[in-house]
Amino acid sequence: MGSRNESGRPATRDLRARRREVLKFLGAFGLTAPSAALVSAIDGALQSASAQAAAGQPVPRLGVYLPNWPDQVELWRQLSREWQPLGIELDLQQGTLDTFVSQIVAEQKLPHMGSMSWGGAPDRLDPDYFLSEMFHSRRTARGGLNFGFYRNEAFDRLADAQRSEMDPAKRQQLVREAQTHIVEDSPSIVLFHRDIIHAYNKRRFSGVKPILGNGIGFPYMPLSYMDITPLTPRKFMRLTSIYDIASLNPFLTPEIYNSTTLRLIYATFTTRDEKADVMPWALERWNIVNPTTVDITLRGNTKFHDGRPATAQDVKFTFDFINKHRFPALSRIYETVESAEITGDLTVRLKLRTASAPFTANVLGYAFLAPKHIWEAVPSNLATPADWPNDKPIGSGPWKYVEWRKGEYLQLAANQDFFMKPKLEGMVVLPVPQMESMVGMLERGDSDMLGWNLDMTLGERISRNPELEVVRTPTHGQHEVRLNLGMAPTDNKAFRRALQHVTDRKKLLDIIFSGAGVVSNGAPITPALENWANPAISAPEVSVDKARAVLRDAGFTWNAQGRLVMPSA
Amino acid sequence: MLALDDVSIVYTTRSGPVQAVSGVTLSLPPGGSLGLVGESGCGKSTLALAALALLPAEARLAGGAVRLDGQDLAALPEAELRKLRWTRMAYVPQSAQNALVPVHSLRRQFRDTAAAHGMRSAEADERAAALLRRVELDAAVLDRFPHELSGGMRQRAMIALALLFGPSLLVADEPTTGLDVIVQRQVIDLLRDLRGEDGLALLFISHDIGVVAELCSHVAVLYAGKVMESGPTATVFSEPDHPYTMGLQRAFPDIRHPERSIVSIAGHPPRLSSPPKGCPFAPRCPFVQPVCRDTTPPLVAVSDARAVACHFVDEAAALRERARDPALWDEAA
Amino acid sequence: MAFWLFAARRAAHTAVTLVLLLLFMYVLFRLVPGDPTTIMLGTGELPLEAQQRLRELWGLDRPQWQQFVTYAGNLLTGDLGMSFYFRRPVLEIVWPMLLNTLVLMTPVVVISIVLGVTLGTWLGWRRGERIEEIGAILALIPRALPVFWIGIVLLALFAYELRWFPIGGMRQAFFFPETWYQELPFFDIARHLVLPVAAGVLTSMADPLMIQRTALIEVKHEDFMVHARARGLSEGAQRRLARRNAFLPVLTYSAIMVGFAFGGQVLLEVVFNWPGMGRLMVNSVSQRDYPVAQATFFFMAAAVVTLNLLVDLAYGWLDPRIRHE
Repeated sequence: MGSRNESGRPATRDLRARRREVLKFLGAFGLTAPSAALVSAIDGALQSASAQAAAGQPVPRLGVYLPNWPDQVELWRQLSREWQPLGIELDLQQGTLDTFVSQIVAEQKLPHMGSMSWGGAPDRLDPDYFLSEMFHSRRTARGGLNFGFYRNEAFDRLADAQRSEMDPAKRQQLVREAQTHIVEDSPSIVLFHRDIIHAYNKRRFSGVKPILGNGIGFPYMPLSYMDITPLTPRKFMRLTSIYDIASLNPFLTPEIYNSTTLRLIYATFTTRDEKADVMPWALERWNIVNPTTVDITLRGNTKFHDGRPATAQDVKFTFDFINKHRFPALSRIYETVESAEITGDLTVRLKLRTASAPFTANVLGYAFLAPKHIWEAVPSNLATPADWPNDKPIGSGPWKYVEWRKGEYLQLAANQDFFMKPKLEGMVVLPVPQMESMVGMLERGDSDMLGWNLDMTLGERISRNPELEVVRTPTHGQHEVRLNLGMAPTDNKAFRRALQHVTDRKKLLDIIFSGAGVVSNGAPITPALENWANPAISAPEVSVDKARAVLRDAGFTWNAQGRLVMPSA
Repeated sequence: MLALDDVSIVYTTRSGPVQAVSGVTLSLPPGGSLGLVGESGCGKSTLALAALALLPAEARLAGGAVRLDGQDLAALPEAELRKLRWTRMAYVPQSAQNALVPVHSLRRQFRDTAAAHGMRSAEADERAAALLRRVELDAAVLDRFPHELSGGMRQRAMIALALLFGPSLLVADEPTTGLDVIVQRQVIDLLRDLRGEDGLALLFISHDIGVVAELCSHVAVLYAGKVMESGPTATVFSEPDHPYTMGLQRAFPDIRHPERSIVSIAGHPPRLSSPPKGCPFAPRCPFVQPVCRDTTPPLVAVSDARAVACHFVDEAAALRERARDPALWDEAA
Repeated sequence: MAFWLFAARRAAHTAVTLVLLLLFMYVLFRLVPGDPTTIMLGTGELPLEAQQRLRELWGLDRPQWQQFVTYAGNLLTGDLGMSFYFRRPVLEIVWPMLLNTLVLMTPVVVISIVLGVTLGTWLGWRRGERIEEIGAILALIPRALPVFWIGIVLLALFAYELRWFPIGGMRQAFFFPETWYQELPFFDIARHLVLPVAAGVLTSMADPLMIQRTALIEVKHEDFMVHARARGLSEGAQRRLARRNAFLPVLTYSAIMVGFAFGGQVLLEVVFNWPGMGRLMVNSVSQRDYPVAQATFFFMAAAVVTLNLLVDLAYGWLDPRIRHE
């Protein structure tokens, strides 16, 4: 009877055990083998961690989650070595992105720490993302990205304030100040911002425009394709990507590749220029009347791809439609925009629910102009218009839809009615799920541009080909090691600071990505974003002595075997 | 017709060579009948295959020659042999159950055989029907599969198949094994009728001396790959000169002497991979003498027709007398 | 009559198996942690509130038993549901991929079996000879290698260096024929098929080959083979006879092989960028796209079970000894 109590919740444990069995069975199909191992590893780590890190006891083995990608594996090979002088041991558990999402984000089962790399999605260019989404205490809820449980009221206040500060200069101050807290409190070891490396065929095309955070091949920012000019009689460009789109309905998917690709067809109201500053796109201009009122003006002579003119009616319809159906993929739009009111043939006044600094970038840059005459006719028997197939997408963007063969290609044609005329006649996007094939196709001339992240080795190989050009572009995406502040010893600030002192970011970037990237200053905003990065902060100096001193000052000691010992109570 | 001249056959096995047949000389005239008797493993089936030039890949003719009408079979290329097979020499194997192709109807098997020798299907069908009638089967069985027939029917069909080209030699290897007594009788009667018909010579292999006595004019008694005794069936079995023949004879019920009890020869045949020195039967022979364990007795002619391989062939009459005592066989070791 | 009774009973068994399979898969996929919305929530693209809204829209917030009743009800009308990821009816997603997979796997399976049986017969017939040992080893080597690796080597050699074949994909977007033979129908698909089929055959051929070889070696020692030789059958006729009698094991295996072919070969499809069932299957599982995952597994399982049924029924015809009682 007594022993039964030790296990805590026998029913839950049985269920877990059973779930593990099922996962193992599935694993026999080769489907979820890593996640099955990970689930049990994480469960185990969680149970033992809190029990072991008692005062005056040696620091337990630190559980580390890492995705099973080569760069992450290499990262931990290095860190295990570099952190050794502190007298700590790591217990590495590899998993897939899938297990990261389901176990760490959704189930909140981060062991002592976990590493992740965050891509450079366009909305993340706004500092709000890497500050609020990742470190605001509100985001410690299940499913939030503050899965290391960082809580600092002062930081929260700054994060909230910058979000509603519409004055760029004042906002800059708030953003920079907020970053000092992150560097001071070390809830994460932000490592570096890896460059995007793309390549294209320079004998066939010129006018390729790298854009911060997008490179040349990603569809994230439509400006990058606009100036591409054919140098041979073939006027359409073949672009390879590792993904295919899943749907042609722009209201459906929040997935970045799909949604940005569809926005080549459906012009967003604003976009980013080469320096990642916000610029008008479907709009001619916008005007911030007050923090919760924004006037927007559509470009004159805008036509949809079916030839119908676009007016303020369509703009209002778009926002009303989104508000009415509350499309989950567009939540940031209906959560920000309260109403839209026609004030002229081309002008609309938007009322916001709250002041939102990222509004022009992340709401107007994400919302797209939808033709009223098409979407108001969508059959009403669907649960949501997001379920409508939309087999012939009609937008107003620079590219017109021609054909999509799932898993084979997406063909687009230039929209000569767009205010900025594409110099190509068309594009064909080919999904190629394997890097080697993608590189081979580019080298053979079967494709003209490689729109997926290369590593330096492949980049160097490609750059030896006289026809091909490799382009490196800085990005705001980042690699980080998130620390779990909810358990010992990573709840100890000195311990976290000490880890910062033994993490040589420059060396890691050199080893893992041959130096192609920007070393982090300790804050989650890349120094390449000069507007938002705080020039006054720098990552802690790399020094084992300093690290040991920090630990010693906080009461940590080392035992005879050199193991780090927790401070005594 | 068929002549085996000092034939030796060696099997290559994992544990080394096994001398299955050593120095066997036999002859079978056209229309004649020769029985080979002996316990299982004595080499009689190997001899049957050798007579048909059908030895498996792991067996090899290590000495001597097999001649069919004076032609050395070993000297013939496979293509020539193929022509001889079934046209000149046919075979009725031990188990028709396993020897008929299970997935083909009988007609198909007749036709395939015919086609192998250039006979057209129509002619094959005609011949098959006639032959089936000859073995007292209804021609309708042609369209049946082997498993649909009874054991006796199968064996008779098998004999019919063997007669397709009217061969001059028929080798029958224990054709009655596994059949019940009545069916056995039918098959034996059939073979007896066929024997000598159109000059058909019969090489009949059996462990049952009663059947051999009935079917064959001559017999050879094999033991451990060697001929122990040979001669006209009638005299060999009425006056056996070799102790092994005496034992063998006592091992079967004799309708002429129903009062005699049946004996079994104690012990086992020697392992052919390591044959004993001297007479191979010595370890089981109730009359064994030191010389037997030492020296192998040669096969010597004791009369015009008979030959015996025993050191004490001169005392055969006395030994026959002693062999009547059943206790003798049980004591022997 | 006995046959029809047997056939009816086996068909009923098959139907029951398939229904149980559907139930089993329904439960199985829902035991995997996370649902389709958690995957979207993923890297921060979907806030929690939106995820909750999505759950409501997709009916994932309802109790499991209700969801199941809906699913089962739809199933009875032949409706396999909606894909969460594509938001299109499952069949619309699965059909094209199934066709693509069959275009790839049909030649792979047919050539593998034909070559496997032919070479297996040949090797088995030559049992004990040097050539048989070498042949068996040669056949086993590609099987031991990952299909992924073989694919990459083939690509590097024949697509990348020699440029005889395209580097992947099923069709070239905008293929313009230049010579007469390029204008032949299916020319473009055919040249895209060569390398993946070669890689597939190299890895799939060994099993039927070894099975046929083993069966043939056994058959070779049967009495009826000695008898066939005694009857003066030519060597070719003897070999054909042996092959015919050694065919059942490879036939059983083939049924399974054909069945699994319906599921595609993930690795082959990835290396050669073939838009088929294998990739759809793996993606749908990792995206928690239950309806598609269930459908893909179901199609494969149904193919395996049905083919097994057909083979069982064919046994009686191929081997008259087998009776249906």
